[in-house]
Amino acid sequence: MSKTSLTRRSFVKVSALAGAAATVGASMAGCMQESGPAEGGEEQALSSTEGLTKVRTSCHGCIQMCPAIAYMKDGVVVKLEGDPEAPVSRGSLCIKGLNQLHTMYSPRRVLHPLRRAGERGENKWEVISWDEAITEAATHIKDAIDKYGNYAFFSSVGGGGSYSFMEAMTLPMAFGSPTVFEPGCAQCYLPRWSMSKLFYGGDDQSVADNAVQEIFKVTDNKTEVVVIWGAQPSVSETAESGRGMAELRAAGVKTVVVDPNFSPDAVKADVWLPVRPGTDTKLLLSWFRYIFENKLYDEEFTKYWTNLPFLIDPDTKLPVKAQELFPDFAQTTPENTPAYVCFDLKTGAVAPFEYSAPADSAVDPEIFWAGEFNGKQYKTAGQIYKEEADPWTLERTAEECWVPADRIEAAIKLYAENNGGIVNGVASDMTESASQVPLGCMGLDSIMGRIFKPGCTMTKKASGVFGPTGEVAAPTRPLTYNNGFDGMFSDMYGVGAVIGLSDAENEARIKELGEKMPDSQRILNKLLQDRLGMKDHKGLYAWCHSHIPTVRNAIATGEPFKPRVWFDMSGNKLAMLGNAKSWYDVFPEVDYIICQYPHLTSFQIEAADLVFPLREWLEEPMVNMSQLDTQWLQNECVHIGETVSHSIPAAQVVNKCRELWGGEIPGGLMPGYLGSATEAEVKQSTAETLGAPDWETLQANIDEYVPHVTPDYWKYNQHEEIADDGLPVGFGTESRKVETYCQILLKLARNGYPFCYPEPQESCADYSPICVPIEPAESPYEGMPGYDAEYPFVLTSGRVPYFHHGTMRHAPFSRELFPCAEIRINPAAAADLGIEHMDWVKVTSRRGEVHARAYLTEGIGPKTVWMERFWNPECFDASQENPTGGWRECNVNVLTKNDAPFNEVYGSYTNRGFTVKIEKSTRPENIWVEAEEFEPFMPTTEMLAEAQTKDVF
Amino acid sequence: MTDYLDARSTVQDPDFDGMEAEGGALGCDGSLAAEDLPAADALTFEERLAVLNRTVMRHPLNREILYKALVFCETERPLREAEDFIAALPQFAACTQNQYYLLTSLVRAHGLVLIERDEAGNEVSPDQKEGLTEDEIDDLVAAISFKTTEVGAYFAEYNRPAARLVDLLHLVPERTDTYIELLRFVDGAARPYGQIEHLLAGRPALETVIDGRVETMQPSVFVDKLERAGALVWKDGWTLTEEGREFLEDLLEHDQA
Repeated sequence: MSKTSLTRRSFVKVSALAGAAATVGASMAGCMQESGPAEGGEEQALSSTEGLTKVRTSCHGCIQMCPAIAYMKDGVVVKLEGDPEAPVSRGSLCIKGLNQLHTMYSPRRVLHPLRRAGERGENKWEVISWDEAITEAATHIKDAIDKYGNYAFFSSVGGGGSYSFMEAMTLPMAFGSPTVFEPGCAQCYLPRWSMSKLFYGGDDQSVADNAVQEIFKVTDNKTEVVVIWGAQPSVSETAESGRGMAELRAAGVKTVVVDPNFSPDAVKADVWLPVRPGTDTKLLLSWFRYIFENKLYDEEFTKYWTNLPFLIDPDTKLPVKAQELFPDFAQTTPENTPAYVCFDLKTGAVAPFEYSAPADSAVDPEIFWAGEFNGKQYKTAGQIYKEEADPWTLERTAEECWVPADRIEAAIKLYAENNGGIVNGVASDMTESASQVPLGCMGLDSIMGRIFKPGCTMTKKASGVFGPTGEVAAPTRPLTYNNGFDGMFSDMYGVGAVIGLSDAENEARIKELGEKMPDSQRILNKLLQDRLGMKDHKGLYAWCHSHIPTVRNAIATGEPFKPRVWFDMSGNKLAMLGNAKSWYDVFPEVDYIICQYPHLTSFQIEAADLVFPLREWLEEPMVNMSQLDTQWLQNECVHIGETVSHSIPAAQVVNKCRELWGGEIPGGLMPGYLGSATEAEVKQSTAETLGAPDWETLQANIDEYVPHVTPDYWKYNQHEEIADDGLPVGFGTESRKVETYCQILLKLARNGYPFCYPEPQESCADYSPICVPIEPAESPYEGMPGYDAEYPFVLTSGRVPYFHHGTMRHAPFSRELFPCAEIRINPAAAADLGIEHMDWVKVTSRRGEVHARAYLTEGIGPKTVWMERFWNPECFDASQENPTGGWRECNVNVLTKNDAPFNEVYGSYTNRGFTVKIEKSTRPENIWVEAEEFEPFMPTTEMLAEAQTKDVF
Repeated sequence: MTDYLDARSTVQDPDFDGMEAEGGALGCDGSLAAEDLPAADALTFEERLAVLNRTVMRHPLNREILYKALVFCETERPLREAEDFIAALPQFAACTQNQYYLLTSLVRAHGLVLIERDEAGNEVSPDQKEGLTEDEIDDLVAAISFKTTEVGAYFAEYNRPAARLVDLLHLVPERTDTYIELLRFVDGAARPYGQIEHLLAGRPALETVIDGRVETMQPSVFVDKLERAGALVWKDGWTLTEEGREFLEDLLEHDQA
């Protein structure tokens, strides 16, 4: 890891990587439009790849994993470009992908196992063998478990650059521990992913996570409008969703963008709603109100395919079952398809409402009704929603959300009058309203009847993201399994009820599973009950994760138990975890910290005792996410050092622990850890996913197996098909309908159902089954709770196109483009503070202070400021006296709020929408800004000369 | 002043802005020459104490070893003797650094002073080394030893296990009986964690209130806090430290156990 002797400019002149610089510009400039080759371009293109070896692969610069082509010379990847056959990215590759040319050969690469040689924070390391590293990690884990019990172990993941989500989730299971967390769980995607399963048993609306595919269909595309709510695909997922959105706009599709920041998608939108950060729930309710009031909703779908007509018991808040009010009612549907109660417009009376096709319904249910029955007052779920939305007139919403009323109205009309749907991103996950915003977004699409329809976002494909293959095609009553992706741990360990089975069916199933695996069922039930933070935030069960602030507090106080040996499986936690300083403070309370990552970041330097070297994406075999109905290979283009695929270190450590214990890990679950232990396993699994018999055959016939096309991928109106019980298939919920009034959330709060089953979890306050208004905990309004005049601005954050999550900060060309933290400030607000464009400012929240350069723009409101979400400068190298790389000076997470109030369901804390003050300051001494300062990041001659190495395991 | 081993509050708030006051970096091998030492005179007693506190608390697996090294070196100890002492500590099995590194880190943190002596046993002063080559200095310095400084002695006294234990037992009085029961349980025989878990299972003392909610603690909480107070140590099972045994005997003598 020596510093390069080349200067930056000489490197550009002599290196084969010079192509990368050209590619950055060419790719971005030529994106989104068909154009002829630039002058001399064709010739240049030919010459730039002449003599190079071409390898098809997939980028892994972000989660969308666009198909790509790597060009190699003498064993070094010298050029990357998008694969023109990819159906959505269509040959695009963004800066994030191109950064790989630098990160792959970065002097920050970890090529061998490292043991810390100095103190935590000193950035001094000793290279050790894999045997030593595995044994050392296993010994510390075993020691801790022997001394303090299984709960001493914990794992984490998240931050980009590694892909160990399943591995981190299952590693503690192998050790009989309940503790695992990921900053990108409750704060990124879990609320939207999980809520869609509880809401209708289908895929969510995320445009940032490959869930939404329908709108990007190349042929027969029925999308007319897309509402982008809290996402910026052109920045976050530039080459795929960003490109896809550009294609849609070019085809005349209308767009509405809800975002406080004037993002590239907002620039191109037909209507931009710069909502006050953290107040999306209020804006959503104004949409409900307008749509209800103006009868813009799909009446038939809402009546017959949602649960809004159901009468709600005011005491239980649950829909009333028909037998409760009509004891003599004889239900004709199976037990797993309950009959509820509605107000029947045909008879003008309260009546049983049995599940059926709309045409076969015995009743004409009223959506909005309130009245008395048998001496008790009832309301329909629709009426409850209507009353919740009623205060949110356009005018009031305009005042509280800082968006003009006429613009809100224009947006609603555009949405209501055109076919399409809502897509979203991580914005709401980073606020207290993490569950309520997706409830609102899906609720709107549901009352518009835009579910399982062509051109809509809420569709369920034949093989959805993380979804069951072919389930929707089966003519049976849909079921939703729980605990892990596709409920995989439910069958594996005999825990968790299945939504869509009757009580008796669930009871019989769980009894049978318990008889087959009594120990597993007992252990996992216990882990679910003891998991940190789960009594209050039970939605985290969906991904088997702990509540991050509760884990942090347990480390700090040692109660109710002390997580003490930490296996972190990716990323820079200081860049990802809210209130990073509060985490830094507890590092001295963790006995031993094991990391695995392709690079050293400020987190590894500040915390790690041991670092396992991982492959970069140009080295690691994998199958990418999907683009439409296709899946692609992430190939092993090169391999340097002793790096391994991401699943391997933990698998090896688990195996070593088993050996040290003489066979089995006491108190651990079997199979426990789910991850390959060798590269051969990784390659075989990759080959099989793409339909090839083995890795060698796949490599010899890549064009035959890649892309892998999922047959009959597109499915529509499947809820109307007739199932084997003679009823319409419906949806994977308790009521078999879309639960716009998300009734399962009430059960979840009260006993952990369906995750904690058969053993219940303690109850907590009820979760709201509908979208309700939430004012951010730190309000800018005088008189509101959390107001403090000292902090007049609302800070929100988002991504920039150069980096993904906390990764790539050591890609020098991108750092030249975006060298340091910036804060976007409205010019009028800046003028009041005497701040000019590119001045350094100090940003202070109630947690801490950081510095950034002021970027003045009308694209942000006068009371709002915006920073990049994950900024961490990583300006450390041997020449710096301060080895922390500036994370304390510039990391936006020093400002973020990781204490209550949390989102009630998922425990999400406040990464966005808190208040700050801004003052002029000066550039911190150890922060790099000039291009030449990023010299230490440049690929070194030593790295480029690294020999191609064989698999370690 | 914060006491790093305080069982009452596991996490102290380190001086987030002042951590660079720790002096220069060591080499990877922990090598340190007397002339590299930070200028302790430039810091007040409290500032040196804060640096020492930070150094000792920085890594849990090394903590008790560093504390014991400070106590051990209250009498000047030759390097070999200090290293042997550390190597014999049961906590050393899980330590993340070698003995020399630990000792020199205490020197850097103002807890120990490194003393160089010539063949005759006289202390070598910086003046004597002035103008000498490295080889000549090597010839001059025949031995090095360590002695606890005033700051180190204060720190060691303040954090005596007995003091830590008294604090612990007074912190949550309803747990006191369980702490004492556990001390008695491990007296005489090393107990595997499973036996302790079995002993304490279902005890009301395991119930605590966190953020307004009643939570059931793991029995490991009691083990952790007694270990942190210097009363328990792992020797193929949990057993009493010498200080823990003295404390228990004292309690028995005064009929409090």
